[in-house]
Amino acid sequence: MMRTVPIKVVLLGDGRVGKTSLVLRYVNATFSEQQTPTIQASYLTKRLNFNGAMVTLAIWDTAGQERFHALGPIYYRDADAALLVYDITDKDSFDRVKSWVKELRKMAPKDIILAIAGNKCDMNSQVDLKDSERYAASIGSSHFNTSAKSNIGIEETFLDIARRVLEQKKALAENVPASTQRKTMVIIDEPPPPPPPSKCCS
Amino acid sequence: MVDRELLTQVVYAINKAVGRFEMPSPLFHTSNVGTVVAVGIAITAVAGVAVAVAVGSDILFNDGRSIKTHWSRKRKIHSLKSQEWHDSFDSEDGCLSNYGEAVVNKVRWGGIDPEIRAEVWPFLLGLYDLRSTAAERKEKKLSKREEYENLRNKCQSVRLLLSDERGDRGNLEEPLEFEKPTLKESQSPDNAVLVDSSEDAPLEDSQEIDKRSESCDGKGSQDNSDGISAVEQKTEDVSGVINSWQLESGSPALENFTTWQRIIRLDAVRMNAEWVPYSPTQANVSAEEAFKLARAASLEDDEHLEPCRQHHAARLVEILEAYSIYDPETGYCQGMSDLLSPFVALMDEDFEAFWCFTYFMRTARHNFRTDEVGIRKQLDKVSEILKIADSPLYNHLVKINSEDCTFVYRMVVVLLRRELSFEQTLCLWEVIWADWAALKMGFGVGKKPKRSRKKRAPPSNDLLLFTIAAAVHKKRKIIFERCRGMDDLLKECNAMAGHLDIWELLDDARELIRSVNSKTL
Repeated sequence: MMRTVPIKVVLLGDGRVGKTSLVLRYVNATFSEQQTPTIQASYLTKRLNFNGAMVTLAIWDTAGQERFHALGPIYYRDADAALLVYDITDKDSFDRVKSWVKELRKMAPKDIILAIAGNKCDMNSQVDLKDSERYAASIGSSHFNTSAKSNIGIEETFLDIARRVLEQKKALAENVPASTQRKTMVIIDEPPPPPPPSKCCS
Repeated sequence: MVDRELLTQVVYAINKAVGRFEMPSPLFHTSNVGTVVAVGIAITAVAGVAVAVAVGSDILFNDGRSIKTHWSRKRKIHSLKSQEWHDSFDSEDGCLSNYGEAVVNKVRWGGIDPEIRAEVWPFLLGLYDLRSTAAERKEKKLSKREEYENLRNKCQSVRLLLSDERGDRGNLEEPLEFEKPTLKESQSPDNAVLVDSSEDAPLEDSQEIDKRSESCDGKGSQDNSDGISAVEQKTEDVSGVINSWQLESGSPALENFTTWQRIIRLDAVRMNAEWVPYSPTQANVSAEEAFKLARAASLEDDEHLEPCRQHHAARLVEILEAYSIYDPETGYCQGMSDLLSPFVALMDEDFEAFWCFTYFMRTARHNFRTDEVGIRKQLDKVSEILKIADSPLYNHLVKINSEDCTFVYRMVVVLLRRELSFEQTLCLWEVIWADWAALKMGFGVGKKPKRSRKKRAPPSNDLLLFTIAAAVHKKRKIIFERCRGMDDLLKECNAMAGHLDIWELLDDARELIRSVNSKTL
């Protein structure tokens, strides 16, 4: 019997900023220069052993185009965390992150954990990094520079999300009676697949 | 003496067969029939007469060979072949015999041979009327080519204007005007005619089909088809597409067109290359030609693409841009490049790919509405099909709050393009169009099926939705056992990619149509 903590993460951001590429790099260790556009959303999971706790990251990768925006709530309404992705070579995509944050503040669970990823950091930035870090701090979010192509910062981003969600769950468990908690532990009695080699176990 | 291992396999096959009997399957009576056959084979094998047993979906021979087959409904697929197609035309006036009834029916049940797809599609989609003469088609081809060229010229004007907007605007002699996109297409008269007549029809049922058949029979022979006139009407308005809304910096239309231009380019270069083996002429395009076209389409940044993909991407950009001008209410939405790519791959002429895509979009465009009314209606239909045809499954979906069928959203929006291989997608689409053509022409509608064809379902405007419902139904066991919410359902749907057999699925879909028809009569 293994106690597994499910953590639901939703990726939001403009089209072609690299949401799918980030997830595929993280979960499958693959990268494609011509990743087809996501329609609706895809759902991938990754199990990790986080300081002795088994965590299943349930990652929702959503479509970027504004037109699919209305589908957003389906994915973030019960999410533990949102990873907001922008393309550092495209300033508009950072503005889109801000509009997502506004929406999440209004519509998403109050305690949703936020993380921002400035993707394509292997290229020249058109966005002032200090500005984006300041903005992230102002909304209580972490900020990471990532590159799905060069595999930079991705592991760190997801681990940061897992760590903060776990801390929050722990704090909630200590302060709130178990019956009123938003998320509960899931008992899984099937043997888990061998955990992928990951730096996170240290 | 019976081989012990063989016996084990036989017992396994029987257990599996009995298991299938126990599984509530109100729809697929044929699968039960198939199971009986499987048990039959298994028992015969025990008797030592036959040399093979059926296990799962394979026939296992005792020498280790196996042949892929299905438990049931295995039928030989006869596609429409080149000879048959060309023989269907009258040698004098070039009309299709019986307005193409035999051809359309053949496609409904077997698809089209890849060699002649590009020739047949324009007929199925209505670009060329099934009743047209060769002379009429020649005329139409000329006019459609010209209309497309006009559209492309408009695109160039808008592009120039936008680059001037970004740079020096003083060069403009007169401001270009642009139609304001509206959300409610019902308020827009020319879009109202574009709306598929089946839009408000509930589930496909015989009465509905009869009604449609009457209407088809009633006006079919005089009217040059509602669809064509609707689209022609729309095209005439294209000169007026740009007529009521000033294209000014910061206006929503400008933003929209700019956005579309940008996303079209982003998406065009990241289409997959599955089409390449089906399009030898385009696959072998020279680097020089590809680059020239890519530059004309402002795709210089993507020189890392192979020439054939660069060429394909440039054609996608030009056609999608023209479409966004032609139908500004829809503009461009991700997913549309998936829908256009097969037309571009199969047709060497842009204008032909554009018009076939445009006729196809008459129905598909509703799925891309920003207010989601169109897609929601489709998802509701899938939900209703499941409710009528498989109530235990539907009840389970209710239990896990997923009866709205949002989990099949992608399947509806890009017509299973992401779940099926390129070839299988084309088969599905052409069968769907053949059903539409059959309904429009009144083929196979309102007639009592012949005895030998009693299992053949009537054509349906919602064949896609029945196919999707069939794909979901196929997973019912897993859905009951493992799915506890939308997450799990979506995961199962994503996992279908590459594992579907389109002909089997279409047979299941037809079975569903019959089942739903019989229950809603």
